[in-house]
This record gives sequence, structure tokens and C-alpha cells, in this order.
Amino acid sequence: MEQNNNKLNHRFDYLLLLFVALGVLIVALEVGKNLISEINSGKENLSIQQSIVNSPISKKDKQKSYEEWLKRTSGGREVKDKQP
Amino acid sequence: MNAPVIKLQNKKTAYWNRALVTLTCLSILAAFFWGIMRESENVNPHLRTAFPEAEQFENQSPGNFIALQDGHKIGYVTLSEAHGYGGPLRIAVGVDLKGVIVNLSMIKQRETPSWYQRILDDGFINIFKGKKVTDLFQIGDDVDAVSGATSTSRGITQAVQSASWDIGRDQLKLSVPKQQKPDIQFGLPEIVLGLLILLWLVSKFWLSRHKKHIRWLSLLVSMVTLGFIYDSPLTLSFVNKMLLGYWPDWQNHLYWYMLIAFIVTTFIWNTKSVYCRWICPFGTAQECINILGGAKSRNPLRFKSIFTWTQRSLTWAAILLALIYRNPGMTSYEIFGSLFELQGSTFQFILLAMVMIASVFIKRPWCRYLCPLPPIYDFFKHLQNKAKGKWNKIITN
Repeated sequence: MEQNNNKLNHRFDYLLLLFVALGVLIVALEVGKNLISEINSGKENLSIQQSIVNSPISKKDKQKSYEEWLKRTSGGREVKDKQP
Repeated sequence: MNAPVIKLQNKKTAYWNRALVTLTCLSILAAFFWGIMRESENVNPHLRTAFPEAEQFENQSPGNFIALQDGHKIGYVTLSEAHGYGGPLRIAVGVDLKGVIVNLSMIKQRETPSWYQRILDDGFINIFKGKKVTDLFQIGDDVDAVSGATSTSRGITQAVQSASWDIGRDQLKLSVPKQQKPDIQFGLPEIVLGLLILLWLVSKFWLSRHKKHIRWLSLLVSMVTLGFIYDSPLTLSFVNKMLLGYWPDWQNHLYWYMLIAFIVTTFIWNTKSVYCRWICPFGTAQECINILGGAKSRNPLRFKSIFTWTQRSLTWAAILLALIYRNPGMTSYEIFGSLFELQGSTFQFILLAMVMIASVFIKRPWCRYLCPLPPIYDFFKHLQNKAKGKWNKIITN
């Protein structure tokens, strides 16, 4: 009887170990998921920052591209007007 | 085993305990300072989001910018801060010269990612676009909070209100409503918590014969009100918030300050965690299943130290990550919301199911093997005992 009880208790310990291991795994997955979204939100901010730093469209550039477009589409006429 | 061997083993254990406690303290301090160092704030992209029409921004005073187009003033952007659920929220608010909100941009937030996602999915930030700076910005009045993320909604609204009223009053010279001192929020959760504390005091000093019944009354009241109705059990997120120094205003968070006062007082006074035994709503839910399933209070014969150290390591790692990323809710892995509000991720629901099934066989499996609060409690108890020992040595000398 006592031996049976001991056997049962040992089996129970292994079940408990399985419960804790699975619990830890799930917690790690949950925290990991949150960690990834936290890192990604930081990256999103950085990418916005980068796009602003890399492509600063100055007024001069805007005017130049407008003039080029006007030249292309004016059929050789003299271009005088400025971008409104 | 003879006495010298036991003495040597005790000495070894004491040495390891001391080393681990020192290491824990040092790692927490290091994580805190690392978190501060890696925190950087670039407001430029947020200024552009808050006022997309503007080509340039002129810094007028700290946190206040003039939005310019072709060198002409077209509006203002102000940075504002308020307290959300997880910590401070920082927002850039753009307002045109007519006093209408153009857009806003979240510079920094510390909310639990899944809850913040709810705010984004609901389009809560967009509801402020087109509002006048003279509006009231009151939750329940002209702003609807997102259900399940009320504290975050309230924090965002407060930040927008503060920024809008500042621009309206100082820049546009408009008559804006007066900033009122926050009302002290004293409602049912505070009353219930007060009542539960009273019940504990009564059982401790006057009716100790009925302690068992009073404890069950306390637990059931707590589970229904603080659990299912208000979903406000103590979580790791709250501990992280305290460690990060995000102490919210007491007028709006009286419940939490009452809870801290109670926990600290009983901690100094008592040897056992009174909160866990008398108030914790999730502990009650497990105990109810324990009774229904006939669970026995079994202590594991093997792996005992593995269980203890796994629980401690999990808590330590969660606190460390929260401090490094300065986000208290990020590593709060409790499953209380999944039970009381039926909200949470798939992982959390799986874990909840596991804990509920385990509760049929074991008493309070979550509290004993996974909850982050007992290791924190043990850690402080250890420090308290050390301090007491040192104090006694000083007195006797």
C-alpha cells in the first residue's frame, strides 16, 4: 500500500514537472511575442526617421523637377512660369 | 547526519543565498540604468505626423513648436504627457490657426502591447482630429473610451486636452475651459478593498474563532468585485511600474495606493502574504476549483528546488526585461484578464486552461509554481530578515 502510494507520488511529481515546464514555455512565448512587438515599434519609429533624413525634398528641388516636367511637356516653347 | 556536516551545509546555503541576493540587486540596478541609457527620443518624425502640411518647425519654447510653410506660420505643435495604464504617455498634438486639431502622434507609450493594439484597432487616436481646442475632452462626455483599455484612453485624452488647452490659451488667445484639479476617485473598488482590509483586521483581533469563514467571505467578495467586475488584481506590471518610478497621481489611482499601503503594512507586521491568502481574486478562483475537484495539498517529493528556482528565475527575467525596455506591462505574463474579462492572447488562454485543470488536483498551482508575486515577497522577506538580524546584532553589541 505504502509502496503504491510512493509510486503514485513520484508519478505526480513528474506530472507537476510537465505542468511547470509547459507553463514556462507558454510564458516565454507570450513575453517573447510582446518583446518582438516592442522591438518592431521601435524599428517603425526609426524607419520614419530614416525616410525623413534620406529624402529631404527642398523647395529648390521641387522647383527643379517642376521645371523639368514643364520643359518635357511644353513642346519646345520657352518656359518662364514658376510653380505656383 | 552529524551536527558539523549540517552546520557546514547551512553555511554553504547562507553563502549562496547572500551571493544570489546581491547578484539579483545588482542585475536589477544594471537593467534600470541600461534602460535609461538606451532610451532616446527623437521628436522630429512626430512633429511631421502631428502637422503633415508643415515644412519646418520652429522651437518656440521647450515642448512648443511653430509649424511653418513657405516661412509662414500655419499652426502649432505641442508635446504633452499624461499617465496611462503602464506609465507615462507622450503625445505631439498639431493645431491649425483656427484652433482645430490637425493630427496627433504618439511619441512614447508604456502600455501592454495587446491593450495598446486595441486602441489602434479602434482608431481612438483619430477621434481627436477635427476637434476644437476649446472642447472639453471628457471621457464619457465628448470622448468615448475604448472598452478594456479605459486607463490608456483616459491618459491619451488628458494629454490631448492639456496640449490643446495650452495652445488655445497661450498661442491663439482663445477662452478655454479652466484646468480643474483631478477629483479624488473613490468608488466601489476602493470601498470593497477597505471592507476586505476591515474583515482581515476583525478576524485578526476580534473574531479569530471565525477566521476560516471570514477569510472565505473576503475571498468570495474579492473574486466577484475585484476580479470579475473590476479586474484589478495585483500584477507584475504594477510592481514594474513602481520600480521604474512611474507613480501615478493618487487622486485617480487611490485603489492602488490603498493596496500598497495594506501590503507594506502587513508585510512588516505578518510573516505570511496577507494579500495572497485573503484578497487575491485569482487565488480564490483556484481555491473554488480545488474544493470542487477535491484537490489535496501535496508537496512534491522531488524537483522541489527546480520548481522554486524556476518560479524565481521567471520573475527575475520578467522584471529585468521590463526595466531594460522601460515598459512595465510588456512582461506581465499573468492570466487574470483571460479569466475575469475573457480577454488575452491564445497563449494566455492555453495557460489558463492548464492552471484550471491543474487546480482540480493541486492547491493553487498558479500561486505555487508560476505566479511572480511569491518570489518578490520572498526576496523582500529575506532582506527584512537580514536587516532585522543586523539590527539585533547592533543592539546587543
